[in-house]
Amino acid sequence: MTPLFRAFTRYFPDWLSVLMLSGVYAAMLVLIITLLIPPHTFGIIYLDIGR
Amino acid sequence: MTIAALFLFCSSLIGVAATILIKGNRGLDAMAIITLIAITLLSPISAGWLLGSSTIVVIAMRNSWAAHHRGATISTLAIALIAILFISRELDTVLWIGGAYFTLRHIHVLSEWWMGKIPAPLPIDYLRYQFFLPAIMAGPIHRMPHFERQCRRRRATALQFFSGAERVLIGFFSTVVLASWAVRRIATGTNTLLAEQPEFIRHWVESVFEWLHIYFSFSGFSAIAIGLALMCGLVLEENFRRPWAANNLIDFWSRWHMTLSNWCRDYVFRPVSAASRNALLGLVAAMLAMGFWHQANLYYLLWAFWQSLGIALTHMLRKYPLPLPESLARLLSWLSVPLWLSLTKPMVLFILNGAGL
Repeated sequence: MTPLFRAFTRYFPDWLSVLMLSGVYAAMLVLIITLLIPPHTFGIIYLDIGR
Repeated sequence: MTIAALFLFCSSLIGVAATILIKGNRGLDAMAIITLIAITLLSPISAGWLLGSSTIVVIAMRNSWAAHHRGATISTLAIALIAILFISRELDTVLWIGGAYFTLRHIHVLSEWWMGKIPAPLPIDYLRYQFFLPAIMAGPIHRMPHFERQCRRRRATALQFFSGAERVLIGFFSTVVLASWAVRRIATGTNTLLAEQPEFIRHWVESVFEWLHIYFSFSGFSAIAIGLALMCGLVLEENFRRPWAANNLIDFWSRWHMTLSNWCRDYVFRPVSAASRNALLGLVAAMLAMGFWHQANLYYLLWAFWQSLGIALTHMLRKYPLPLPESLARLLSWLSVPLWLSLTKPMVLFILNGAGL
């Protein structure tokens, strides 16, 4: 049980904790990837996908 | 986060995979080789510096003449290592990796050996300790006895792997989203709003955001390093322990960048205090070491005096408490921490500008 999952299960049922953990992981990953890759770094890739 | 930092992170992931696939110390030896390759590709001069200094330090400790002249050995090597660190700071055109951290690790091992607390390490053990990629770029300044204990006990489990990966994710979130994006955006907006305000107020507000930025980015980098180590099955020392919950300035410095604070306490504060029989002198010396470790200039000289003054005042208030109700005294003491820290920059710049420097 990871620390974040343990923190969730302390207050919520297991099934909800799993859902919340997935949501938190996904949100963090999306934000990190979006902000980590500035448009000028991979400009060509952005052009290819229509940005 | 720079491309160089991302390259080191990706190399660390390869190192983590190697330590999981190869059991025992050989996995960590593989990590050391990956470290050497990654640093050589990015900055050959840093790789040469790390390899050369590690080799000289470990050979010196194992030399029989040096074993009988420990004081002379540690003095010579410590002065040389610190001189090289300061010279490297002057050469801005070169990409330096990890010098500030591995120099302090060298001095830590030399000091422990000088005091007779640890025997001269084997070269392979020393290189394994110094060439641990996750801790190269931004610490923590982990201790060798602790690291060796962790290496002996190392068992990479699924729980440790996923707990470490979660820590890495949280570290990235702190560095990329909170520090580099959120705090910076709010700071830029606030600076625009305060453009007409007096310089002191602008510096004060800038200082608040700088502390927040340093906290989120540096604690994030530390979390990434600690998380990567945990994925390998190693528990490294923590660097931050909820510093904003500190109830006074002394408590704050025992929670903020703990591995550096502990280093300064053990290798600067204690020896200077013991030799001079003056704790205040030891405190100023420790704060100067901490300030000059960041950058050796007039700003950090005054920074060190300001922090020393804050800690000395905290000691005085502990000895002669103000006649206030306990809850109010505790609240004021807690508030004094961010107030004193955020006042560092405006006060130092005020003095420097006033003196025309």
